[in-house]
Amino acid sequence: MKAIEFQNVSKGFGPEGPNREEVLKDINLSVEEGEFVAIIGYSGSGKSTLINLIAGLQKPDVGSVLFRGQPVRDCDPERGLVFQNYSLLPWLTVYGNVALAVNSVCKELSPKERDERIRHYIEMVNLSPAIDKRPAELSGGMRQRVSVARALATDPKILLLDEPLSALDALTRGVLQNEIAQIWERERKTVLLITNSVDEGLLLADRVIPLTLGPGATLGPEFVVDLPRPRRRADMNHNPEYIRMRTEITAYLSDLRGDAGAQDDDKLIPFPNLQPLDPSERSAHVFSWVR
Amino acid sequence: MLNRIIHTLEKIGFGWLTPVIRLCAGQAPKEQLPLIAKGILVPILSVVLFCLVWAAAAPKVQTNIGTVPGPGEVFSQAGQLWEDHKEHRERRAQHAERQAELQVRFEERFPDREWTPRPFTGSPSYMDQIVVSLKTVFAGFLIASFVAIPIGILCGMSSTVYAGLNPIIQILKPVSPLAWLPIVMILVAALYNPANPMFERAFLSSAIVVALCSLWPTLINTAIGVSSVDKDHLNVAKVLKLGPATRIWKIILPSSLPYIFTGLRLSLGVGWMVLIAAEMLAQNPGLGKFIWDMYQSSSSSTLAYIMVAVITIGIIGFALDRLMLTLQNLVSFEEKPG
Ligand SMILES: Nc1ncnc2c1ncn2[C@@H]1O[C@H](COP(=O)(O)OP(=O)(O)OP(=O)(O)O)[C@@H](O)[C@H]1O
Ligand SMILES: [Mg+2]
Repeated sequence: MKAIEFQNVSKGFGPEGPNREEVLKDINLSVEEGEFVAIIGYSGSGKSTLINLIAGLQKPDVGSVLFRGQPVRDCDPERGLVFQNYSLLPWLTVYGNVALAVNSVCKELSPKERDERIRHYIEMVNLSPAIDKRPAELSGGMRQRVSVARALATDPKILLLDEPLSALDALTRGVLQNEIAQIWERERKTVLLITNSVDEGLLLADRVIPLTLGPGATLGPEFVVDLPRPRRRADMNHNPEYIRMRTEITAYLSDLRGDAGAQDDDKLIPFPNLQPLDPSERSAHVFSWVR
Repeated sequence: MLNRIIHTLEKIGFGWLTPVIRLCAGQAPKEQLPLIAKGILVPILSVVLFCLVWAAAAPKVQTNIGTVPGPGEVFSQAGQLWEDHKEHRERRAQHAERQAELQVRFEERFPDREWTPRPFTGSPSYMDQIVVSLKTVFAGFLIASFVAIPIGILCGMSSTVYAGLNPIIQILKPVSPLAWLPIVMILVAALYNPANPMFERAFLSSAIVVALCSLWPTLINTAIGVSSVDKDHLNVAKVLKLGPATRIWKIILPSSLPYIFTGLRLSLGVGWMVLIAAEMLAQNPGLGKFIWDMYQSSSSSTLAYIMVAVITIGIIGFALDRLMLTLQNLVSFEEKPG
């Protein structure tokens, strides 16, 4: 049985009819149990939409999305999702945010076990010193780590990571990539990773699948990554196989855009450095008219 | 440390004190002086000016109960009320003492009979009336909150409920307290007849009228707050499959708390305004009844007493608003710490 399956899935937004904005078209994907698959694509091509479909936040217009053979009807904590924009609750501390997930999902654990578990996962993302801070007091990278800890802490059957590291600096990003690789090797969970970095895909995944440009984006030919694990970034830079795949995927992606000149990964995909929505801006708006 | 104090002051609406503190701490004294002049001196001057104009104009206006009192008279009348209050407290203490003595003697003479103390019969003092008004407005405010917040949450969560309730809300919202009061008094008289009443009927009627008039801002703001909860936060609730109770308690309520408190603050303001009218008609022994009684007595000091009451009402209303503002700032979690 496949862990994740997309069968001829199409998804659009807006009113029915010719004006409907078609985002995804004819998506076919199957992910084996325990496999690590990375989807790579340009901004706005529909990556988040794809992951929301398997998470259950959105429904396909056409086709079916299956989780372990069953159609996805609703969200479920067994499919742990790390949101692209963190989606931390600003009124809860780091502990509180992780605790909300643990307390609502791991009901069978005793309060002491839950507490241990919450602290364990916060420690795992190196946030113990900030455990009592609120999201507004954290840096972007720290928020992203809380978000990862929250998803992992509920021990989901599969992990859906929507650009979990894209807002991080290169150093922290490398640390967390190792972290994710270790977790995956230890627990062998099925992981679907959305990413905008070819390197990240090659370092972590068994298969890298490009998403073509929207509207009507679909999955391109897959690239099977046969590199031995653990893949250390330093070794990879000299690995001919790695370099070959990197060039190949990069070339495929730049062909999509039609700008063949791009060579460098960073130049190829000039992603905006995604800034999370700053919730503090809302309060200013709320109060401006009562003061 | 200094910044923390200043931050706290600003949160509770005492931002105008900031330059004084900075001056005391020796922070950029030159810049503080104009700020102090603007934030403290100008308001004081304008109040003084207001009093001068009042003092000059008041004696020129003749009424059938004497000239209109100036600020001096009003001030001395306020002192008079305070003296009365002290005397009243003394009399009350004496009464309690005497009752205690009587009780001892009574129990010596009739050990097998129950002692019933005689209640104090003096009319309430001005301070007592203020306390009654505050109790009434808070009772009404509590009733309003208990009704408005749950209904507001329902309206915010379901557009169907909102569509259903909206016409009722829109029609009842603008109704004056004076229109509600007769209905409420009749209903209270008909429905509230316990053997040992815990509340006076007048108190209950006033509180209910306050509630009826003040629940709308809270209801509407709660509904807005709940319906505008960040979609990402609701997605978190969905992904974690939170039950309805946890979802409301952990996501929807905290997220809309700033809106709810804005509503509560507006509600308390409306409630305090409505209260005086309600007390006048319902004869609830608070500030409203005080004004009414003064008006009825029509002595030479009537106007001065009423003006004292007006100023008291204004100051208390202002204090209540500040209190709510502080609470509102305390719950606005989103603000970055200073
Ligand atoms: N709820 C929605 N309603 C309408 N249009 C939407 C909605 N969500 C996404 N879209 C549209 O779908 C397209 C793809 O959006 P999506 O968020 O999936 O992109 P993405 O690949 O995740 O981009 P990024 O890398 O910037 O996150 C965009 O054009 C967007 O405007
Ligand atoms: Mg996205």
